[in-house]
Amino acid sequence: MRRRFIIDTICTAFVGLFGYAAVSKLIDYKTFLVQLGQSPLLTEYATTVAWLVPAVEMLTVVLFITVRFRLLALYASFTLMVAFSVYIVVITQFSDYVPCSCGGVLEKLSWNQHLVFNLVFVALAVVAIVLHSKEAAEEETLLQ
Amino acid sequence: MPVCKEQPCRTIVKLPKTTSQFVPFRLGSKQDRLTNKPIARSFSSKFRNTKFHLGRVFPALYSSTKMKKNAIALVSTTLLITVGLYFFHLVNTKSRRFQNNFIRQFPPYFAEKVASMDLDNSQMLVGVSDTLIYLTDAELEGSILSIGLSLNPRTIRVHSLPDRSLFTSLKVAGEYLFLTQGNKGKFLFSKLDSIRPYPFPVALPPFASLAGQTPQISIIRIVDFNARTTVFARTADPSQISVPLERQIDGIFCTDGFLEYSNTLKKWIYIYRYRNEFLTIDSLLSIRHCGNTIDTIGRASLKVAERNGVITLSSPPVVVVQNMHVDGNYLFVQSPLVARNESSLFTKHNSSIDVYDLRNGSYLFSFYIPKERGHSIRNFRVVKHKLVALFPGRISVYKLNFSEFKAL
Repeated sequence: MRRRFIIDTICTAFVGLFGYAAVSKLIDYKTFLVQLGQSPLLTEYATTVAWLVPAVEMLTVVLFITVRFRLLALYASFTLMVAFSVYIVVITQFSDYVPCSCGGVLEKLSWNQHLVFNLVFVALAVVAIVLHSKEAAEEETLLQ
Repeated sequence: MPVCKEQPCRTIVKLPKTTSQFVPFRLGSKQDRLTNKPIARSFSSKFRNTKFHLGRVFPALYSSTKMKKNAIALVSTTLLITVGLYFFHLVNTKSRRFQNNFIRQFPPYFAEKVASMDLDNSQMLVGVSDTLIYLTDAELEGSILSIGLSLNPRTIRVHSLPDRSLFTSLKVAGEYLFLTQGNKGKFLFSKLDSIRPYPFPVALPPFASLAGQTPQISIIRIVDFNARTTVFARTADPSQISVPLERQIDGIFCTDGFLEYSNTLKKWIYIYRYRNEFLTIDSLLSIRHCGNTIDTIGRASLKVAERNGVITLSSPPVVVVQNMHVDGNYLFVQSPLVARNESSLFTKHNSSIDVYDLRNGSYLFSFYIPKERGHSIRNFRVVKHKLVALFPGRISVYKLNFSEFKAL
């Protein structure tokens, strides 16, 4: 019961995070496009990334809502959060030009704070994946 | 005949030791009464009797197949993304950091470090006089420190700053300290020997930068966001303005630059940040082309975007001039661009500074200032052939051996 509660809570947190991030990016699409253009890593691919990232976030939200694909959604969330975290590290440590951070409420965070925030969600994704797999394994054992 | 009694059968079984060896199931473990199959105990109990086992550190490796698959998937995803993004960054950086089609000349032993000192990381260099270096902290909440060019700690003096709300930036110019809040047109000045600021008697419009020898002999750079123009005006009579600077893209970012005063030429020098040109401005606000920097970027390479009345850069610009300073007849320019005869590996550990003669606008030579503790120059000033370089957390003074350069 407790395990199920933890998994559900983490999934709800991800739904809220990705839903808010995707909607805020799509509402002010031009701002997001400009901010991506300022990134030395993404400036040449800003147009593609500007629609791709919100689309993947929305798709992840849909996968979370569909219980059957919850594990896939958790893997997608883990991948997204790791990618965002590595991007922050590359931009702040290896780039000669550090743009402003973006993402609605997260604009208020500094890059380091943003990194910590992302890593927390990476850890939550790992926990949820492990618990989900344990639950699935136990269900298989019971069925046998 | 004797009668032999049948001896009972005895089977000797050697039992395995269960103390220090790892075994999946211990003897005497619980067994299912129906099937006589051992019941798997809790995960941790499998390793209870081991002194050390890899399973305690990486339990996923010895757990069920599903957990192992999950662990491998998570770790491989992380590694893939990390390596992929890093190489993506390397490819992008290489394509943008091309070597420009110009050559730098380096006279030997030109810059010689004579002094160095550790500082607080937030210290800013606000100016130099003939004998002193002036520093303040980035938040302007503390005070001004003055220290001798020898960086002898005994020469450190502390001067208190006036009310923080009166200014947002300060600089030393000649014998004066200028305190400004450009967006509100505020200008205070003070003599260096006794820092007691006075407001400038003439009301100024909002300005972007100010430079001059004295408060009266100073000009301000005014950026008109509505007309998208950049002009200059004298502080003594701000109603008279110069002709606008040449607009290449937006008129605001493309004309951004640095303004300094030359004591020997009695003129102001303006150098663009994003293109290879520097100008002279005289006391009548006549703007004349003085020369070109040695790089090949004659047109600003930047993109701007406008939204809700706010103009912002929409892509990382190509910076031609990172910092500059004027000392007498010479212009010192810190340029991040790599020359054709430079190794990018070498420039990674050094900052290059180009020197120009303001009398004829010609390029003279370049020299390197090594990075300190992995950081390049944050700011620098040149006075009496001594270069004061500020790094994050450190300040160094270099002697510039102009006599080594025979062309001068």
